[in-house]
Amino acid sequence: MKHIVAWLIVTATVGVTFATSAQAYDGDWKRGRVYFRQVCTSCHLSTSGKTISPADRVKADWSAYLKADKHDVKGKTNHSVKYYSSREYRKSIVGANKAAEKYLDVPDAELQADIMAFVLYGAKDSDNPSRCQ
Amino acid sequence: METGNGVGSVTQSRWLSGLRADYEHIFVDSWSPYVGAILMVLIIAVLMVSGLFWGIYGGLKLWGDWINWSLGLGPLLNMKSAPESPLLDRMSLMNMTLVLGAFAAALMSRQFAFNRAPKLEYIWGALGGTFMGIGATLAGGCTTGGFFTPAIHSSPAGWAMWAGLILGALVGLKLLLWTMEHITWGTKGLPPKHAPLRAWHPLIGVLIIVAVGVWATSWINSPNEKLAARAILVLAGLAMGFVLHRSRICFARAFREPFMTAEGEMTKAIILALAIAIPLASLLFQKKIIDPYLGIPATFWIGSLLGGAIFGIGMVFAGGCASGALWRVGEGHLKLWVAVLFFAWSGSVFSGILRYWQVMTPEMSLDLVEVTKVGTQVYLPEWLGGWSYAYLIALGVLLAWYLWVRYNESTEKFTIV
Repeated sequence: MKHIVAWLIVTATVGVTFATSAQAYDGDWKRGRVYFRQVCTSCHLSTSGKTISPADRVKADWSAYLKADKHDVKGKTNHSVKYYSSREYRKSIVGANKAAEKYLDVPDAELQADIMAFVLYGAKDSDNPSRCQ
Repeated sequence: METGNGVGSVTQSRWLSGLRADYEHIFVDSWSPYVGAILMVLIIAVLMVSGLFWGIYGGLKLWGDWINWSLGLGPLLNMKSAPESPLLDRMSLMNMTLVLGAFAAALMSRQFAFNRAPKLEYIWGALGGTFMGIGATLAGGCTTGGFFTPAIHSSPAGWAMWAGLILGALVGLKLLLWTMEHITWGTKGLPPKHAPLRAWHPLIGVLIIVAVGVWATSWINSPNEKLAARAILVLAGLAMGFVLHRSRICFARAFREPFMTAEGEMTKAIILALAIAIPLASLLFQKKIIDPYLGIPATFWIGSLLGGAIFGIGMVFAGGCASGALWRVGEGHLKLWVAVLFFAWSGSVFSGILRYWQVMTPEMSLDLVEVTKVGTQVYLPEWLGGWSYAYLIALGVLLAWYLWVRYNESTEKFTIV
């Protein structure tokens, strides 16, 4: 009986551990905010003179935009949105950008999830629409 | 010899008089501030479990924004667009229902009346409210959102504002005493003006509670996510207003009274509330039920300390802190109506001025904490590398505060009146 209970406990522990480790990464909106502001916004501001904000779009539009992964249809910059959060891009601006330097070793998928979490957190129709103060 | 009917009527009259006695005991007699403090912590715990925190100033500032926007001062105060609806903003909504809860409690206890203050008191209400608006802007919140909530959220910002509030209460009281000796104009008191339908007040109070309950229920079942999320705030605000009125919880009294009369009951009630809330909240943070940074302003330490001192002076002149002013508004204190109006307006104006220089504009640092020109978001467990020191600091400050209040109650060494 004791052996069965012990096995059950071990199985349950292993199961729970596996289940939690297998959970998808949720995205840290705070890290997303830093990257968005210090990389995306600052670049947009310096190249086009226009600031960008999560409050520019509603949640559904942000999700569609990031899923479509079309950054520039005119072909002036890299066509992929994901490219701008990739390690490759971070490495290319590491000397000029502190956020890129700080998060250089963050996996691409995690940083993409962070940015997604931030834009959804501050979208126009969210509970916390971000505004330029 | 009594008939069956006689026995029945005697039983019924006993039952009714028992009900009446219970009603008087619960809804008319004042509650102990210790009971109020414990119930206040319970309401805060419900908010925290729902991922929310208690704050007042943000809602008041929104009301002030609307006043300034309506006056056409929006562009001058750097407002890009019309403020959010006061009915949807979380803090504003809770403030409204807090006033309703206090109003219902005042009606049910037959204590609602238009309390008219001497003329000079309205000037002090306006001045105190203005100071509170400036102080709350700098501290990132009032006695609730700048001191009490950050302290519960294990942030030294709360304790920095606490130090400022003690200093401000002392300075404010000295200034107020000076005015009492040197200004005689407008000091003639007026009797309270009883509101009409006095006999119906308890019933009206009950009806207000029922109406707010129906309102919250309709929002809970709303397909609109935003409204459904706000329902808990409607009920929490109502409960908070009711509890604060019944127990007359007031942060201003907690900071002012030891210097004024040496009475420390309200101070000890606030100490008890924090002693319960801090460990309780720490469990919620450790279980990741709520993000502690939500209730921590980026004002440690300059903004918190300086804002606390200015707010402390203001609350002494106004005769109430933010929460104390709101429940007194619900009780019919006209001086506090003026204080709240000026608190809201000056908070909006001063925020606009600071927005111009981007003093309070929070930016996220690479360490993922917000930073402003008057301080940083600091969470003690992360700052000190664990909970042990965070508990020690909080409980150490509370113990020192209690010992000082107790000593002062026994010796009156620190009274300045």
